[in-house]
Amino acid sequence: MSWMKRISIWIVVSLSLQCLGLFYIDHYFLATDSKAVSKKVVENASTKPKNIDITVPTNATKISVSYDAKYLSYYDENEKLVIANCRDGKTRNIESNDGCKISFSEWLPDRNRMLLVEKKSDDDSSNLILYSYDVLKAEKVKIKELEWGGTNAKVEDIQTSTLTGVTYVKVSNGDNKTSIYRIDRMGEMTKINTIPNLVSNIALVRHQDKLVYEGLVYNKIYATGRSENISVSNVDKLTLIGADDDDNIYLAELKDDLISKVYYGKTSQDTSEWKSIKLQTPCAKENLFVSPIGKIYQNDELQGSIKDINSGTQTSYQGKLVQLYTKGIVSVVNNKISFVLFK
Amino acid sequence: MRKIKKSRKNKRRTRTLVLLFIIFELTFTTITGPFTLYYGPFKNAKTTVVGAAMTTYSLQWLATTFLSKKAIAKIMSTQTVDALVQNNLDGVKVENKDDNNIERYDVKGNKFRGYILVINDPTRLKVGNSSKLGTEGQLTSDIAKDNNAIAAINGGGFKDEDNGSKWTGTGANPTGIIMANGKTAFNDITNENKKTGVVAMTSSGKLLVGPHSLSEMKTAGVTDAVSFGPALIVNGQKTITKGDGGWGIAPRTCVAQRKDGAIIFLVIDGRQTKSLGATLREAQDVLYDYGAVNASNLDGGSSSTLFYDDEVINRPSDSLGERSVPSIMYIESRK
Repeated sequence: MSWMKRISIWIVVSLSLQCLGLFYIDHYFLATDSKAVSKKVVENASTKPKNIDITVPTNATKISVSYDAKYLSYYDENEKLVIANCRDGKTRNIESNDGCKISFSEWLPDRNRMLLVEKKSDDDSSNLILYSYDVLKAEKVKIKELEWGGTNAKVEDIQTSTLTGVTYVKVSNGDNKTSIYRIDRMGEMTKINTIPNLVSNIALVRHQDKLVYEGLVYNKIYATGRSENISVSNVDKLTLIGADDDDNIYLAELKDDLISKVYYGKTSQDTSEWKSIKLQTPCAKENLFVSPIGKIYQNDELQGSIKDINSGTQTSYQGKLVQLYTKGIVSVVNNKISFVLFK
Repeated sequence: MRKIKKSRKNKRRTRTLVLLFIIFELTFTTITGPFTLYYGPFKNAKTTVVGAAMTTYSLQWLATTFLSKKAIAKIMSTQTVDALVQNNLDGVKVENKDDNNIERYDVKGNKFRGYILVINDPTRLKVGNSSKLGTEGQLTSDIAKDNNAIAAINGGGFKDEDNGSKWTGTGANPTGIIMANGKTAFNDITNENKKTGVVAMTSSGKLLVGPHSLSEMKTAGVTDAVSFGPALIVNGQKTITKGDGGWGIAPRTCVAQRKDGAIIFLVIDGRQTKSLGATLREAQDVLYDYGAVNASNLDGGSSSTLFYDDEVINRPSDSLGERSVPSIMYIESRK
């Protein structure tokens, strides 16, 4: 067969395929939908349950509550992620794909939805997949397949601003490098160039696309989009505590691994204009928290109380502290979850 | 001996041919595909692609690379939405004041999944807005909860201003007017007599859709309003009778009123495998089937949210869920 003839046939094949495809789309798929079907939805009279006791298994780990403490998540003895409804105590497993394990989970700051990272449990390949999980509808949606370098990649932290729709994922690669990835509302992913190779704490400015991060080795604080670090005069070592809803960043002065003073302000301001507050009793970083509305809380493990640093008000809790949420304190007492509202 | 050699040679030849065939088909189809689409006889496919591309800023290149401005304008003009004027409000008689009933329906089309609420008493419809307009938008469900609403949909449009990088808008900056409970919460319309697309509610429970001026709204006794459009049904007449409305397929939010005054909320999911979305015409047709005599489109896309009885019942298209918006339309709770 001559080449001319052959190519002509090939062209005809391609064109007819195109036409067939477009014909289908044109006449069937895009034909104006005139036969939408309706179905009446009858609400089953909801019996709102009374608050009941929520218990978790003795060997439950990584207990965490959603922003409004309506849901609770933890890993059970088989390292499966479980979600409990705090109103009726019902629990549910989040299924992972075959051969995969949910290696990281994080509640979003203002809604009952989680971000999950799945990883193949049996091999070292670093294929991690990011999902969003809608707790109300029990639906898991894939956000992005993350092809991350390094053999032992592990997601350590995820920060999201639901306002700007930006998500930052911090991955440790096993070797001496931290990678930070940014995913925007359109699903576009880019890698962030951090100034130090190893990053410890990260925090996100809510109204702007700006990530604040702390170098692991020298405890210096940086923000994306600026080359020099954020420093406070006469302070040698700083650590990043967090950010509030008004874009204030909270930094603490570290002395012998203890915090005695907190500085806070916006990244757009010079740190000389920032405010500061002294702690009456210095404490470890794990015991200091910043709430979305900009309150600084200090945990006293021995006394079992949380103190609002600004006002001095104390709220006591029982058992072991799990987490603070928008309205109060979550702790666990003999496998029972206890909720106490802030005073 | 010679035969074997020959057949081996033949095998290799076929393999090369198949490979060449595949490469050729792929390249040729990729190159000629856009031309078959844009210059072939497939009108629906062409207008949908052009409409969807041109109404989404980041995708305009899909159309502008292959078609001249003139050709695009011509295609878009076949997709017109008729500008019907709502000149009297007498077509609607509010019959069910103080009727607390709300009915919920699920709608299923070939390529979309939608949700409908029918609210019998139209005087329950109000507009709510973000408490931090100018700084940040709020979730439809959060504004609804703040206003003690039983049901709500997202409302008017906004400028998606960047906050340091693309696509990071916070829904803080509305466009047009926001009027809530008789008070103007936001207004950038300077000319009182200029007609702009609004969706508004009068104190007697009548829904205004399409272009109306501020002074007209004052005379009609409007208490709640947002800016958006186009009107889909006016005085019982469909505004889209040819073409699909020219906005492509996307998630949709619409509000409408029946002859007896009942308010209809329609939200259609989109950009998902189970529900791609709907054209303006399809949304219009659903509302028409439900007996709407006046209807308008509201802000769609990832803003589309339907809140009912303490839950978001649709599936917003963003992977993080609901996005923050400046304004909503809600039904006040009567419990």
